Amino acid sequence: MELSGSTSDDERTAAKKPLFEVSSRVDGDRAEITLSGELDLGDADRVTRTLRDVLEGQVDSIEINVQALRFIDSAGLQSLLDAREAARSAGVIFKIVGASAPVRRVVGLAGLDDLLY
Amino acid sequence: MNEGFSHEAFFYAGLDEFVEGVIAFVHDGVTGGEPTLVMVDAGKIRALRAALGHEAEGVHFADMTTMGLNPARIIPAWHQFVVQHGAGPGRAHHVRCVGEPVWAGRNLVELVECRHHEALLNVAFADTPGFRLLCPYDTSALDPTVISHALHTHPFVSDGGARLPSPSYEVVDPTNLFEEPLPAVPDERHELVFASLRAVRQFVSDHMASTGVDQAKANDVVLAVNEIAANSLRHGGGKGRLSIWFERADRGTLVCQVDDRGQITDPLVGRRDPSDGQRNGRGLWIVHKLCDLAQVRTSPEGTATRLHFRALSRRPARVGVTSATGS
Repeated sequence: MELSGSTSDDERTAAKKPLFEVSSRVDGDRAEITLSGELDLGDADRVTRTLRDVLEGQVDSIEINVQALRFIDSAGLQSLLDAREAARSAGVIFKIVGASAPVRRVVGLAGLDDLLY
Repeated sequence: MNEGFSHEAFFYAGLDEFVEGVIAFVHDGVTGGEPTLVMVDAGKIRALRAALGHEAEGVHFADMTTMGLNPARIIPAWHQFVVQHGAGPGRAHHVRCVGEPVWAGRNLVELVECRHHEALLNVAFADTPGFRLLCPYDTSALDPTVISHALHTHPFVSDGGARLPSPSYEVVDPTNLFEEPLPAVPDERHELVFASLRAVRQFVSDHMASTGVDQAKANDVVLAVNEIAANSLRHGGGKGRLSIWFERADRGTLVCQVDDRGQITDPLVGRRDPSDGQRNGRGLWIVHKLCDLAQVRTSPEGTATRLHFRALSRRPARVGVTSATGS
């Protein structure tokens, strides 16, 4: 078996994989943040920024929909924990909905099951 | 008498001596009202239950060969039990545990990590005087070097119910444990120099797909390697090198190694439960649950993390094959 040489990141990312996306929608005093794709260390700060922006409006509750998240790592998980903390500090109800297998797996491994309830 | 953490080696030859020694230790705990946890293999659990009779009802058992296959999972298991039963630092209660981390089937690479684990126990529970731990070692099944290492890593030896100081206990600076080099990376490997996690995950997925590993396991491998690579990006200079190969000796074992320029300074990283609120170490904690062995070596020159995943089915890469439907 040959030793394969180093592979450039450009070649890899050119293989059209959907990137991570975060969007938010505010309906009255309710905010919904939708995460999709793969949430890793490189994109975790986008979750944090979006949450901060949403909290600047006058919302009573925030729901983070992770139905379309195909992958999340411990840094992504930390951004969700930080989001919960920020929401609670602001007296805002916080809920994560739509947790699929990849999310449940990492949450379970980290012993953070209460994040999903 | 001011007692620290009591970490005792118990040497036995054969199952009967094992049972006799362990039930005496367990019996003292149960009659003293000390919560007791025994982590040994399933066969020994059966033998102990039979010998303890009704007293077994007051004892917790767990299978060490699954719980502690990766020895880095053992310290967290003890810690959880200690805390659950009020025996942590500054707490008044006592707990008593039996754990056999080394058995005849352990390979050389695992034995090194088990030795490190035993040395780290002394660090992890230095301020936990309420914890008494008995570590059985089978002199009839293990190499004399293993027995000798056990004498180095255990401050006490249990002999006929008496607890004696070990004649050759060595206090170890834990940073020295992690400086021993790993065996060389084999020539036959796939390699990626990376600066992004997406590239790492793609590389690992592609490799998993071509070897016929099942999807759930493939996802676990991708997640584990991603976590180590994330540490390279965050703490290791923003890039790293990933190497993947199958073990020569045991072709079912997949090995993934990440090398970077960072240095790990906490010897217990990844062995503390992050749900206690710690921000650091969660990645390695998760990795230890996902893999069957993780070897970490670190120095000012850099860090190498080698992960082992056992019993992965492997389909050899097929070249020039036409459709199986025969069209």
